[in-house]
Amino acid sequence: MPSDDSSPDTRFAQQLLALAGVAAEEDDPRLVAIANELAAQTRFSALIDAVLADGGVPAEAVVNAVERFDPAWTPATGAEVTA
Amino acid sequence: MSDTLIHDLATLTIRDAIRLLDARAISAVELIAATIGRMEVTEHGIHAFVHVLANQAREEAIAADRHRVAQRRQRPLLGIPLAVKDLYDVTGYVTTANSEQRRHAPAATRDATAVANIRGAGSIVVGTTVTQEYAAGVVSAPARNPWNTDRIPGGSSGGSAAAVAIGSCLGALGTDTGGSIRTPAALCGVVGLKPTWGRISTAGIYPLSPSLDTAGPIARSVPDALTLFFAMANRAAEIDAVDDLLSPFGLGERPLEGVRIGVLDGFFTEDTQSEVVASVRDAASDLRTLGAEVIEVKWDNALAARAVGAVVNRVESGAVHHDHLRNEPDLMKPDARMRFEVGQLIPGSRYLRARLAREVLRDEIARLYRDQRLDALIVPTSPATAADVETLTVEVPSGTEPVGSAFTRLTMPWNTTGQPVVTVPCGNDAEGLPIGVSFVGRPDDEITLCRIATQYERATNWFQRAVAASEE
Repeated sequence: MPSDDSSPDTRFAQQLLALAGVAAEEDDPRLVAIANELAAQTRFSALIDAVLADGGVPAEAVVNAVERFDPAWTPATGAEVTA
Repeated sequence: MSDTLIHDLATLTIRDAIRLLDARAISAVELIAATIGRMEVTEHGIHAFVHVLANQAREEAIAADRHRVAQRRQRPLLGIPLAVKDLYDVTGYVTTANSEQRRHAPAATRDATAVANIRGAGSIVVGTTVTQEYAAGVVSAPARNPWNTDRIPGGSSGGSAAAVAIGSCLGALGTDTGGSIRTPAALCGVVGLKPTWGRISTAGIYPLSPSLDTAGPIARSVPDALTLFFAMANRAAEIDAVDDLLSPFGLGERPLEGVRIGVLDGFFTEDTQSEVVASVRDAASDLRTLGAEVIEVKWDNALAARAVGAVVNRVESGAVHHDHLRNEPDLMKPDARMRFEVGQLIPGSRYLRARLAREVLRDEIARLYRDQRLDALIVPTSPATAADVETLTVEVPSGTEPVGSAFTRLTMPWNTTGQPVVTVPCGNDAEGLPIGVSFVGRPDDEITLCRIATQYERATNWFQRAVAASEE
């Protein structure tokens, strides 16, 4: 195990590993909350997968998925690409 | 000053206060005294404020009245008392964000841009208001709901909404990442405007999820909300034109003639309390009576839009609090810590796919507006009225639901699309708790959105009706 003077990143990783170990053995409320939230996130991800599968992704969105906002409020018309 | 006068002045709208100040019928000193006085008699039960800037506000009010007497160039909000969510930097005060980790943080040395802008327009900051820890939640403890102090005000701008509703300020600044302006505004029976993402600077506001975080106002009327929007966005020159900008679309009893409004059911109503659904249906009927063409429309991916917002929110907030989780995790409350830890456990690929899906959904909703020629959509703001502070759950048709999901699931889709939304009171449940209806507009067109909502508000006036009923 890393020593007590390990970096914050290492300590955080240690905590996560400890959580994973405890999760297998104990009914810790904090772990249950995290597990439930991760389960919800998995369901959310399935919905997102469905959107990407059904809708196609505008080509420009692949290049620039961050902060694009079309002030003219018209749909993108770029070529569809498969996810 | 009599208690009655304090109450009357403290419950003015901003637009009325501007008119009275301009006519010299009241002074800024009287207005500040009224709101501070209101605060003094209500704070023991409402707990809306973190810092009260009473002395500073009184001094600024004296200066405002001197400026007015000297007839120097008037600033449009000169002397108007406003409150600011404890997430915005206010010079000289610690932005605590309701976190133990920030109790000993240094005081802000400059105002957040939006705070500087409202001060530049002449308004007076009377205090900073309670939020949830790092704005991550809907409870806003210890703040309480003015309509029933056993209920939460909603969040995370809960203190701002409670302060506006009770009369401790004439308007307030909030932020909205998943519903944090709209939900507390609806639960407290006031108006909340989430502008288009990016319209108001978030500089100097503690971030939660930067690609979703939106600064905006909470007020007692739609014209007040647009007034504050202009002030926050450094567009104070447009404040004098608000009444003209919000003029009716049609004549006489048909002020919404020519306006086309879509009603979204399905996701927005299927697990919503019956009284809330009934009030929003009544609102649709009222809109028809006012001349609007109201049609039923569908958006099958509303649930997916909520999912996108949830994933983006978790990952970005996990990144924002990277250092806090490593250095002082025990100073975080369990809910916030869990949310941020989960954000760090979601793979990067999931985040990027959520961002891609966000683009698809923005296009999809744009297509809906274009194909249906919509000027606005209406939906319930929240699926339930204010929750009990002890249970922190609400009863909806599918059963008992925790407040964290209940009070974000109908609002978050619009953070994903980034559209402007204004929530307006539209009724009360059997216990008298307020219900809100959301008008969802086109991006970057807050003026048309507020113009539509104003016609509804003028015709129904739920806020003033409720105030009158509470005084009987």
